[in-house]
Amino acid sequence: MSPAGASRSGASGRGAAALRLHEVTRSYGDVVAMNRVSLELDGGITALVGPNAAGKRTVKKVCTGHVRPTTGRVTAFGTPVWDNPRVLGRMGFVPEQDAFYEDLTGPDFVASLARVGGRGRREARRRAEEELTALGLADGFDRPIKTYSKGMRQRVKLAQALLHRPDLLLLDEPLLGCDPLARRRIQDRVRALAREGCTVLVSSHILPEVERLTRDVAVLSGGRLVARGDVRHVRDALGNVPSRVRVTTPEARRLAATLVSWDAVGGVDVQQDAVEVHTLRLHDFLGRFHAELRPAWKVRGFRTMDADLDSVFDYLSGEVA
Amino acid sequence: MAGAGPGLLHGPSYRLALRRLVRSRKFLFAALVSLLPVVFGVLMLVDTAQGMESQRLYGGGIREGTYDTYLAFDAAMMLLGGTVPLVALLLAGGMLADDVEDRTLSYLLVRPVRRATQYRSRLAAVVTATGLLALAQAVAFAVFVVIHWAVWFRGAEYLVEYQYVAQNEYVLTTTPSGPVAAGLVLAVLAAAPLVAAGLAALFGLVSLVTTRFHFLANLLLYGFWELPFGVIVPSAAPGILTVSYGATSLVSRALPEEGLEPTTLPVAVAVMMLLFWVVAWGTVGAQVMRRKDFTVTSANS
Repeated sequence: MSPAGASRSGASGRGAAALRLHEVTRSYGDVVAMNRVSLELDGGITALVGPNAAGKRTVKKVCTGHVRPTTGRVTAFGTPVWDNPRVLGRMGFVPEQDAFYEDLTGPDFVASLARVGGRGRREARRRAEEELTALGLADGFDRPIKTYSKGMRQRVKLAQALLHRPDLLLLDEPLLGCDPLARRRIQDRVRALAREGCTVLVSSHILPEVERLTRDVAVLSGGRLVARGDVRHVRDALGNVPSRVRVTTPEARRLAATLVSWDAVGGVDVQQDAVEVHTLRLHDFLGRFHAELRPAWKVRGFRTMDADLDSVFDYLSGEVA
Repeated sequence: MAGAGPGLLHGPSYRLALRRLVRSRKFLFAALVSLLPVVFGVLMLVDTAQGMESQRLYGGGIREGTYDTYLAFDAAMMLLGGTVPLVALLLAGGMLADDVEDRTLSYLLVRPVRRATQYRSRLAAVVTATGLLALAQAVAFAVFVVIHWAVWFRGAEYLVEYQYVAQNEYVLTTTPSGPVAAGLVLAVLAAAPLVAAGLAALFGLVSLVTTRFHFLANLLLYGFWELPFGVIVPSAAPGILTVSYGATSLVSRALPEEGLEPTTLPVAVAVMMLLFWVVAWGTVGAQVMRRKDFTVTSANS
């Protein structure tokens, strides 16, 4: 695993990184949504993962020029992203929100946005139909988007982002609500783009889906980039950080006596109806806990205490394992 | 893909915005609002036809055999101070706020067009739609005035002033009414689209700044600033800072009485003022757009 903020080596050979966040902080009032995040992407597919409220969406917003960083710098291809047509012309973005000009047909919607993006009328229409067809929407797309299924809508969103063959593609939950066939088509298309040199940043909370696209993950938690690298290394590394687990049980003293003999347990605090466990190997502890203790003991409650890190760990271990 | 540089307007953005606006329900509603002057005009014509006798009771300058512009003047002010601003409020109020609310703004923010250019293009689309509806209202007004003047009053002299001498005796000062009626028509034809454009630029800016509460904010702005100082009491000092002031001046200029509206401006100045507000508020809006953060969120975020 690379330390947070490390970069992947340049795959596109363009000199400046396709996307670079340098010490980016973004606050909304007193809430720090992104905290000194540094990240560099240049080629390949990177997954941005993390639990809810980790800051994934804010990363997308600063990368696409929706909001400006409070401090720090966001550049793409060596120049600032904010209000920069040169950069935006090389970028494709699939937002999570299920929003369209509902009365337009899929091709009309995509072609309209392509026209705003600088394509001529005929070319925009032709490319829109080509892209929709490539994504498997050859039939039945000539009706208002409001009549489309969720999978069709996702593909329309993707088509508007791919039509100009971007060098940098940001996908926010691109597989949400798609049937298996649609998922496969979208995954194939994204992989093909990455092979052609496009840098892809995809965020999702469905980790198995992301893993089919890439092994390279950037983990956000509490607005911080806590890990970057291969997904299995990230998971292991996160499991070796000191953590606390609170187990609520009427048999607190007996449970504590059992737990102190475990290798993964560094110490216990016994309370009236609970045991607070200190561990350096959260992953191992949780595995054994779920396998041996939960079926046999009267466990009324179970909570990881270090919310940020543990929620990431739960997220990774729960979804991937 | 080529990026649009710092151009004044961006054609595809303008056309997309206009297309979406014209297809929207609020445009239909605004078009219905634009029919109100026609309804009022017809009612006034009927009322005038039936109530010539009763109007004499007001003693306010309406005399049988003279052309009465009070109805036409009031209709002009209702149009410029009522239905045209309402149309501008409806169409410009959600200029960007609607895209934020329906969460489609993301698609536009990542296109290679500068934010200021996008804003100006969108404003141009709103001004086009608002201006056309305002012009339609002005044409309806013109038809009403022509019928009123030519059919009901048969081109009678216009009463500038009357002095009471004794019971049933008045000294009348009159002037040919054709130029007065024509002046009113021309003033409204010019003022309606211009004030619509100026108000659209103002409401668009307020919508950009307030986003979620744009309708209420614009309503308050119009009700407590534009309407009282620009239309109802335009002679008050702050009036000159309102968009509506120029339109009120243009209409007032069409009447020959001295002192009817003491703050009337020369026609050229009034027109320049109206144009100035379009450019000024449009420019401020573009600058705000350049710096504004848009936290477009998904429904479940």
